Amino acid sequence: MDDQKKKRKITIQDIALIGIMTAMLEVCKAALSFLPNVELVSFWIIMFTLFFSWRIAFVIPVFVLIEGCIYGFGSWWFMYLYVWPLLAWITYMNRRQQSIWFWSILSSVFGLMYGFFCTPVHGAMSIASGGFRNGLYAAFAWWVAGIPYDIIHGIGNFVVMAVCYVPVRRAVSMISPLPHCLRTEKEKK
Amino acid sequence: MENTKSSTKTSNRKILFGAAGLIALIAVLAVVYVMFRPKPVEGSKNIAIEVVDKEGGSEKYEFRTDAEYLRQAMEEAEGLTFSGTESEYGMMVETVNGTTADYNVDKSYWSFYVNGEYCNYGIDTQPVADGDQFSIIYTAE
Repeated sequence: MDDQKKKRKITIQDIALIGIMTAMLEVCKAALSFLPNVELVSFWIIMFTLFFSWRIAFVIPVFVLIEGCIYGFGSWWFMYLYVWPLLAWITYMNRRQQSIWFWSILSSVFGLMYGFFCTPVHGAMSIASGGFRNGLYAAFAWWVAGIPYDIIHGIGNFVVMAVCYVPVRRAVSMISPLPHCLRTEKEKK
Repeated sequence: MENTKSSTKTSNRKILFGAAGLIALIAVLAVVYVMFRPKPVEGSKNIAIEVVDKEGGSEKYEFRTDAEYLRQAMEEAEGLTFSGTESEYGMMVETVNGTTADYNVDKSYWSFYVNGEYCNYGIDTQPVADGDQFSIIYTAE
């Protein structure tokens, strides 16, 4: 196992796969940008982490960099630096879960807490410009003002995962063998 | 067979707990929002809006309004003109009294203050209270 790990190299196939995954994230994000806080990025990051494991560690930085190049490196960009890796890490830690409801709930909780996760950057900026007390208040007010959007985000993520998980899983299993931990008992046989 | 049934039961219970937790989280967020959201003050209010332009010149508008949020108050201020881009968070003000601040061109923007403190909300959600002194200042980094 250790030997296998040591010998692992990034192949041309991996690079192509990473490129396709990044392109899918960008296209889906742009396609749904007219709907406030309804997005497919969370869904794809969860699915890519489940199906293509370590490759997500290359997909997210490229995706975040492209986003910065397209939309500018604003405060939101610094939030992207840790919010998406956090989602991938949580997914990876729960990769043996196969329940569609587990993933729908996890995706939904991520959407609901998105604003909260982003608060540290806003808080740090506010503290830097207005002092500790004012900064904390500004960060709290900023989070509270965004709660309706977070609720839309959470509901959207739940629906997207509930609707798309099964067909996407089936499609991926047709083009590439699923990781062993993701196979159902029937598929393992 | 018994094992399968029992594991399905456990799994169903976990899903139910998860769903209940999710609903509880939404409820908590909704309560926090209702308790701490920006609350406007209704009724007639005396307010002032000061615009500080690129050259440091100042224009002050003092008037009475029933506006709940700053955008409506700005629309009511006689002589004050503004425009910008509509976004999901409301209007992003780009031009005030004919002067455009474009962050992409020269890192300039219009900053909004209420009673000397930086506004925490956009103009569509910034509450207006009696006696508020707003400042709209051309800012370049």
